[in-house]
Amino acid sequence: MNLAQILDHLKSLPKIRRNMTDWRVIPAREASYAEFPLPLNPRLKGALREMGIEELYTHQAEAVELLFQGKNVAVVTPTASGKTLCYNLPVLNCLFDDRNSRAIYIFPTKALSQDQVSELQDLISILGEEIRTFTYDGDTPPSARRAIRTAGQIVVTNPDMLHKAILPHHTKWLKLFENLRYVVIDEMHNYRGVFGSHLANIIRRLKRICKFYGSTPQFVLSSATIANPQELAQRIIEQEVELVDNNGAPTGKKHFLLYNPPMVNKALGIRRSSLAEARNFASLLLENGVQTIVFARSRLRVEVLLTYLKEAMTRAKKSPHLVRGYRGGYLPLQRREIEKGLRQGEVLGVVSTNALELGIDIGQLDACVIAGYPGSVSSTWQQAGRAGRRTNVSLAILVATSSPLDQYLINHPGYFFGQSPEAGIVDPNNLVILTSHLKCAAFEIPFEDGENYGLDNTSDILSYLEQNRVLHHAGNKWHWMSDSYPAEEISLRTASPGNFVILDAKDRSRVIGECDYFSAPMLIHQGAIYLHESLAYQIRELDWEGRKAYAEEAKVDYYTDANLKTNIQVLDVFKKQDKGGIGLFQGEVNVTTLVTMYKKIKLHTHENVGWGKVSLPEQSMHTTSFWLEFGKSALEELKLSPENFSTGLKGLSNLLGKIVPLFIISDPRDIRSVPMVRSPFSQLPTVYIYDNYPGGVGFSEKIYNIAGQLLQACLELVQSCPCKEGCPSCVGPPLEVGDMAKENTLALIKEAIGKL
Amino acid sequence: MKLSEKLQEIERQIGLPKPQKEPSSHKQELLGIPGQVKSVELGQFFLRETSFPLDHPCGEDQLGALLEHSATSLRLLCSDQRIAELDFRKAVFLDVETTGLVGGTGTYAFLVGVGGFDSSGFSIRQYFMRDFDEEMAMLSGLNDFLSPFTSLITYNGKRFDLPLLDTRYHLCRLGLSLKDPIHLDLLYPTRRLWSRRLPDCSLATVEKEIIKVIRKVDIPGWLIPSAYFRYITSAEQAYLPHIFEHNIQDILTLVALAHKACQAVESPLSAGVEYPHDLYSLGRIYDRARDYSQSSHWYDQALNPQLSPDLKVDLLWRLSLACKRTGRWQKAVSLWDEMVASSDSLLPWVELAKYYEHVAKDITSARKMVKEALSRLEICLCTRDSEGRQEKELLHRLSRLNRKVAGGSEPGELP
Repeated sequence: MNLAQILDHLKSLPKIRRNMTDWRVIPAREASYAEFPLPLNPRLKGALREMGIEELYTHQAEAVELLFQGKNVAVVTPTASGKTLCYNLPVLNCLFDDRNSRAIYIFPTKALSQDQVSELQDLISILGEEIRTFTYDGDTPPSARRAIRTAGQIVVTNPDMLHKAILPHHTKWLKLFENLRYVVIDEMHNYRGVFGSHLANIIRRLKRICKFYGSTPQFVLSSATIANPQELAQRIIEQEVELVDNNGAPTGKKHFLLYNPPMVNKALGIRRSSLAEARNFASLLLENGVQTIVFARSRLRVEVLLTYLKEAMTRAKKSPHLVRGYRGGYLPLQRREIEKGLRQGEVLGVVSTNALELGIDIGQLDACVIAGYPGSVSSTWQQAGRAGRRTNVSLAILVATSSPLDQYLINHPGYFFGQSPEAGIVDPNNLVILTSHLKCAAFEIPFEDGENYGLDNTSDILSYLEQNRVLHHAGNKWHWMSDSYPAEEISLRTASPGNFVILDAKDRSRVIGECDYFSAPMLIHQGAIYLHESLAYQIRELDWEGRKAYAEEAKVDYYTDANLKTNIQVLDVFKKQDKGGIGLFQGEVNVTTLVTMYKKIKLHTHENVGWGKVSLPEQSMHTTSFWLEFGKSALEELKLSPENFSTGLKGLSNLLGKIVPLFIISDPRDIRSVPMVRSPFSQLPTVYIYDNYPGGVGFSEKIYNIAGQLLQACLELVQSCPCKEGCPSCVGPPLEVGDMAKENTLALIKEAIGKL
Repeated sequence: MKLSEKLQEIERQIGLPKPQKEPSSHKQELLGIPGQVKSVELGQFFLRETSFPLDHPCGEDQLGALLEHSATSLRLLCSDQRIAELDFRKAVFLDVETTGLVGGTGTYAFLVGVGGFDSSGFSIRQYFMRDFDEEMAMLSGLNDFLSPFTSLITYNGKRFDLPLLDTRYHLCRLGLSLKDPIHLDLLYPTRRLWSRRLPDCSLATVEKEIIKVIRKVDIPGWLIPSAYFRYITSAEQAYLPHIFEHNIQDILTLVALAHKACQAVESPLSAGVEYPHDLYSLGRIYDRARDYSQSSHWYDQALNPQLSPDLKVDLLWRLSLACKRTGRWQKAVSLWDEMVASSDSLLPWVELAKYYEHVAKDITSARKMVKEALSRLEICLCTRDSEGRQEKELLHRLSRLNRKVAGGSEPGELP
């Protein structure tokens, strides 16, 4: 069977049709072209023609023209639409005009940058011009670094290298900063939340250094589809940005299937395993020789699926080597080989984590099976975009797991296929992030009196740093005065300060894993069972001051669940609205958490088999929060017993905690939701959703603005869940939440929606 | 809440230390340090000048001892061949004290010591910034002094002092007047001469082991940044004289070290290079200079029971190559014969094969050597790339030898 026949076959099967919640056919798109922009160097035009490019796609031409006009540009088009040409053309054109000019390309990961460099090199080799393009990252040999610093015309790097190695040594990069014309930020949608807030500050530092050397580079950003590309780009570079999203690249017809595995146990809300279902689809495709990519959410799931599919190939009397795995942890050479095999068609199938979601060049495949919702609509489109030839038909199948997020999505195709509502949020002025970069900036070039960095009252922070003896004011400048390297103290990618390391209790130099500061009391208290790569360790000792935990491998049949007491104190209210007894708020809070005990819970049966005490200091965190309050009149209308009300509040909190990350593209750990039957702020029942990062990262403001939409989503999720009293796919299991969890939660949601 | 209070609260929560008391900033008179405040166009800085007679002792030697040498002898120890043009009388010796050891643009050179020979002996000028806003004036004063110099002597100056000064001048929008000097960075000769004997090549170790300087009261290098910060924030001057003395001693050490390095190549045995490791190092140095009669001489001298076994294997191999290159075939062959009996390396087999083929014209023996080598490759199962290449080369050699035999180009030899 070919792909078209497989599609017909699937359509004919009732058991498949029954579980398809949607079967969309996205029609083919014709290409729309535009002529080469006039100022483009004739030799570049010649090289493009040599590559078979007679005209540009409309979005490419528009981006190039805007850049020629001196504007900053954000290009937002799908995978494989020729985004890189949008910035490669103006950059190369500029290098033709002035051999001294320079450009920096910033990619979020190392693998990605290598790939883009090889594409750029191809274009350069056709041009026959010597344009020195170098990758500068952790793997760059020291011997090559000096040459790159002085001679590299295009320097390809990542935010970490820019932050730690380039900016703090800018005098060695004199030529680059004096002549910097373009800064390219690819895959911008990766820079959201904490990582994005860090990047925005790195760009502030970069611009400050450019100013010192007298250059004013233009910025080009590119992104997968998100709701607010222009806003995000402008927040990151803090300058006006023109949006280019008139995609002119052609695509073939695409079938997009949403599949919900059938229910096995209705009462408990358990469905068939998404892995098994994904395997069935993938092996059908692979056995018929359809080139397929399968995405799984974790490394472990990748390995499991890979094993299944290799077995399936053997049963079908085909070589199991036609199917490969791909994930972090594979060696670079091995990865390159698989990528090449996919491009050339020698590899028929690949099972991958989201490592292949980014723009690594593997060509276009025929089909894509996504085992479990990847966590955001834009990721799902990125992954699905891996299948889709320019002319032929292609297929993407999303197989849902039983998590609430998956269940919401699979049952709301309209939401999924509509305009992506996710927005990238960054807060470059988060006080903790800003201050840590302010230190780096002062290290790079002394601050002058009256100079502002992000905030108007920069001098306030500078004098604070002087009191802390890291800066020193002399003359009219603030000088770095510490024998330390401030960039080393910042981790761009992890959310919390002062991580804990988990060490082997026997061999105290062996690191087992890491745990962020705020999760430490819950996960690595003394006696806790810590799971890592499916091995169980028991924490023997937690050295709170030294940020270390010592663990020993343990053969146990239980896991631990710490009991966290949370208290939230409202410090300041920034925004509020009261609608007939339902109050919405956003403001500043102090969250204190204390772990006092933990439960031992038997694996599989989930019986409570014991408990232990924990004595750890109380933790507090100053952050921003959204909260929803049920006023007296709402309580009177609801007429619920205190017990039922409490159950409903817990259910609502569970729902919100799971739904919110979908709407604000954040990691589920970036926010926390807490129900309080009697909030100390108002003495009223309240659900708090706070930013799980000191100082807040801007999530709560967004949540406040879309609260109605969020409640509507909760309502739809609960109503469409076939379970009786509540299950992990919706409000949570009744054993945990309370009796009649579903009914009580629904009552609360309806009351709130009715008022808003 | 004020921004700074908020910060303080957040930092307290994440466990950062509390801020200390209010800092103070004022330029005071420097007590106990002879010198004067200099004014230039860009401001003021502090300058201390100190002179030493030529017979001033430094370790085992006197400062003036260096002037007995010519830098020509250092050519053996340096890759920059311009070193021969360096005149010790006209060179500037330089050492900086910094606010940090981490490098990068946030590290300042707060004290720059420069020294040189003159009519009265040896003089050292120390440029010091009494506060951070004196940096520009200090650098410009230093520039005025440095501009006539064309050669420079430092320890690790290529990687540390000079790039750091370069950065400081850039940040002050000035340019270092010392342009592309002939730079004798003594770290590299030190490594070539003594690294095999010393635990490390830090200036402190070299000073103790090679020059035999004993510092009386000294502030360790790593404490210097915090001592300077202490002076800046609390006007506490107690450590300052020690920093100045430390810097002076560093510069005097440079002079003595240059002398020791010259001596070590000019008259090794009189310089007390009785250590076998140092003699081996001399062999390596002459190997590098392609002076194989000298290198084999020093390798011979270094053969000593005290030599570590690893080094001895390496030494014999290098000695055999030096013998080969100087035509001492008999000695070379006997060394290789010894090696094939005692080590796993294929290289001596290959050398023997080459010898029999090209020098002794004994094709049969040459073939025997190649076959021996190949059989050893099989035993160790060719897994590494280098071995794959070796195997290819050996097979190539064997087929050539076979051809020679078959072609009868070597009369009298039987297949």
